[in-house]
Amino acid sequence: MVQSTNDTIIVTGIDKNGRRISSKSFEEKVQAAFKKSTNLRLLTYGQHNVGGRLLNAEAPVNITVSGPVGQRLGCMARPGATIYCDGPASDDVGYLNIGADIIVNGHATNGVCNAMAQGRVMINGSIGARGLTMTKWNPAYQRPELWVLGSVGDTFAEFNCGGVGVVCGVNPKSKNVMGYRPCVGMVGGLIYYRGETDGSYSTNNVKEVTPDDEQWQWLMERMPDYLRAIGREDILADLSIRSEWHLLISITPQERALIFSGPMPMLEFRGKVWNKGFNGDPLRDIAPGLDRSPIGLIENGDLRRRVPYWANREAAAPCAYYCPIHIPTIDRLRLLREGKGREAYELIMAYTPFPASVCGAICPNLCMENCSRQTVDNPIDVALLGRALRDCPAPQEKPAKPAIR
Amino acid sequence: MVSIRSIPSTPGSLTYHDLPWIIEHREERCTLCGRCTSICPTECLHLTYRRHRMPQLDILRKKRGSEFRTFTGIRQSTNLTHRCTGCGMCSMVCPNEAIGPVPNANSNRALFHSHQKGEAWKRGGRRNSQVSLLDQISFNRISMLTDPALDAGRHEFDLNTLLGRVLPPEEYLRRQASGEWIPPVREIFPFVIGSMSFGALSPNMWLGLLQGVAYCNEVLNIPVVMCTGEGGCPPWVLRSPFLKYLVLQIASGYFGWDEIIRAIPEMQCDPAAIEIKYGQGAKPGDGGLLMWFKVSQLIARLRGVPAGVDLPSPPVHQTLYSIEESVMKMIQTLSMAWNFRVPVYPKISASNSAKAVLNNLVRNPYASGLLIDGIDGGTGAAYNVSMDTTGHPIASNLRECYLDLVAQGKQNEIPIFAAGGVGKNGNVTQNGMAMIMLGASGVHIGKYILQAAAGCLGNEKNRCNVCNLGICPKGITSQNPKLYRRLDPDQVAQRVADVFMGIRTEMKKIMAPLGRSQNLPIGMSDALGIGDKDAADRLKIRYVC
Repeated sequence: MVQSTNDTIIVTGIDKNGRRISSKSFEEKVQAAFKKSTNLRLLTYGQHNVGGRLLNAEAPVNITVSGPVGQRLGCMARPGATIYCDGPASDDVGYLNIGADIIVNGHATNGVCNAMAQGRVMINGSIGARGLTMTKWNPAYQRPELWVLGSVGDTFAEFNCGGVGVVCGVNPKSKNVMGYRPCVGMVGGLIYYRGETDGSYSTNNVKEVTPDDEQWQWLMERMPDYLRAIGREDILADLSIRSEWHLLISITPQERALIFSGPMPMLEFRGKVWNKGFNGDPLRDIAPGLDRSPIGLIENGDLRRRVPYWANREAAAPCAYYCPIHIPTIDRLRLLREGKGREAYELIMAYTPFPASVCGAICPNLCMENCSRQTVDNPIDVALLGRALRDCPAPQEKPAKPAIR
Repeated sequence: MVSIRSIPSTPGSLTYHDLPWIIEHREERCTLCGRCTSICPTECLHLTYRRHRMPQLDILRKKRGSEFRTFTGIRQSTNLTHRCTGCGMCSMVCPNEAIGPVPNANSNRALFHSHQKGEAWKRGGRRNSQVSLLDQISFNRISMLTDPALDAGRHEFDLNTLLGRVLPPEEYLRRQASGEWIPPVREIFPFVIGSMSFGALSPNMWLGLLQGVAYCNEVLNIPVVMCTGEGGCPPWVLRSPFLKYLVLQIASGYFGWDEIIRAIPEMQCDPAAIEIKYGQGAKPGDGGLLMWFKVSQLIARLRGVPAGVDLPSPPVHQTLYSIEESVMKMIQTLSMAWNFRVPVYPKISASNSAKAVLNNLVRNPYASGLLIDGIDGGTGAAYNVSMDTTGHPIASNLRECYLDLVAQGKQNEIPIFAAGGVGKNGNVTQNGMAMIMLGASGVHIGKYILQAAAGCLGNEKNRCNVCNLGICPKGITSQNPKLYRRLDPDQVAQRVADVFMGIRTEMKKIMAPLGRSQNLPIGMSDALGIGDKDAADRLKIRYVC
């Protein structure tokens, strides 16, 4: 069991000889002191990873840090702890913080809140580059928050996944309060800011909007807490003017997909830029009236590429093909069907003068042997057709006529 | 009437399995809609009807014999003029997956009959070889904790290159102080759309490409330029603000240069550069060739020639007699045309003699660079023998030219651009960056952009490759409006934008691990490795395994 009192214990970062002790020894002294009290005053001399990893479920933990602060103040700090740094801080304040409130009464340098997942970091000044990067948010807990009174450095909020940033723009270190190219790779969280920027935020990742009522209420409910923590309640009214605040929020993958297909639809480009560059069709002088509008792969009418070739009579029916003199039996049948017996008779006479004796008696009827009809029932009986002409009167003598085929 | 028994047998008679591509037609799926026969660019497919004998194998039946049915379906022509080129348009239009070409796995005897009627085999495309040395090169110098780590998605990159003569700093300052002429230099994207003429390409393709290039410049801020090829440039394009994205090519055919000269006083801006074509990687020692199929009224009008005639360009410029004179006379004339405000550089085919040309350029104060085009370059029309076997691979040729400049201390002064097979297997950024690290200031891509931006069906297994005949089924290289209107210029432009956005990202993904972001790693060959010891020795790069 931890035996705690409310007496403040002072832990010093130098030894008896006035020499700086290592971060490891300092941490061991801090952990030993923490077993006796949850109120610690740490006099640091540049030791790293100070103030974190202190957890007490029963009493609030209050850590005050003085002196030159090393990197990663409040590293891996726990919920329930308040870490107050009474001067400026070095790099990576709140590194991997999972719930502590960390207050820096001055500026902080690069990497503030890197990979923080919960808790608050409150800066009474400006911060350096790469603040609020790689933050996380577990929905079972509160979002991590970074409050900056002045400005932030370059490449702020890269890969921000859940953190809320508030940049108040009061006495900023840089006129460009959001720094150069913030929010690259940011996929979640949001950033309130106030003051001038160069607009270099990553348009592939975030868009600028004005806070809606809910967002504004969130800010105004928490602002007094922050100002109290840094001792600047006097400027609350100045920071409560809604029209001065802007919001950068991450864009959805759907919105990003539209961006990647090109920031301007091609049709719009054609109308706004391309056609204007020529004041008309670029080929109007060398090919007046040339229609170049898109068509499909298969077209009809004037755009048809191939005209069909009707291959009727390209090949002979089996009867005509196998007949030694190629009598077109199919034509003969057609004429008979049409009731044109006379024409049918003349047709056959153009091929043979002896239809009854040859087709009807002598010929082995190769036509019938090869007739397609036999696959259905019986072949056309050409022998019978021939014999039917036996009693026909001989045709009138006519001038010789060339064969049809 | 032809007897079914008359089977031809001549020296050129081939059967399906002698052809490079065999049409696989699935009768049971075919609805006889006729789309395949209407789309086939070579008229290879035709509807056919056959008598199929169906033998009766039932031995218990008393009456033996056969039944017959009529087959109606699609068959391919075995006539080489109408052979299947494997383009696959039939399967693209088939509503029922009933048809498609299959490469012949067995011997392709059609090759023995490719010379027809006294003409050697001509085609489009590029060398029918899938081997790419560039594909084998990897980027091995990875900066992690040793250099500032860069993030391709996060950091800003300067990816552009310089086209033009860069003076040594002291000379630049001296000339600036004394008000002397300073050679023009353009900052361009290192992937240039290589020279493809208005004529080789259809109007919709050519204008679609230019529209995409304009989009890249004006909307995406990627300063892509494209080269016109030697077919001239439509007069209204010359007078448009988009001329600044065009490299105008002058070649031995001089097509369309009257229109260019006529337009000079009315130009709103200068062209990006002038390319003097002396040679081309696909057909070294050959001039341009636009076959009569493609010389439409429009092309004839633009080029100042009769319609419907073959347009071969001579292999050499008719007024040039020596290398010194070629370099001096042409560069000076073309520089003077725009009052020395426009970079002028020659394009040659890769060759053992490239270094001689380069050294002439180094000594010429007006030369702005050199473009070397390797054997794997594409073309709209060339003799197959030129395309497949004539020329020099680009990698070693570029490398020795670059190292020659390094030996003279001139490598930062005169840029060498490389072309020929960049992206032939689809790895365009990797190929281009390998070329850049071997010493190129940039690369030209032609065939790749046709494939990527317009869906060109050709490949290095001799698929399609009928660019020369004007029957391009995608409408890329045809001058027939019924074909080229299949291509929507807006869609081509959109694809160009997509391609260059992709290349831009991939360049960053290659450069970031190398620790480079602020300038292109030209000649950074210590980053390259290859698993082929001989190639490593020849290119003077690291052998890795």
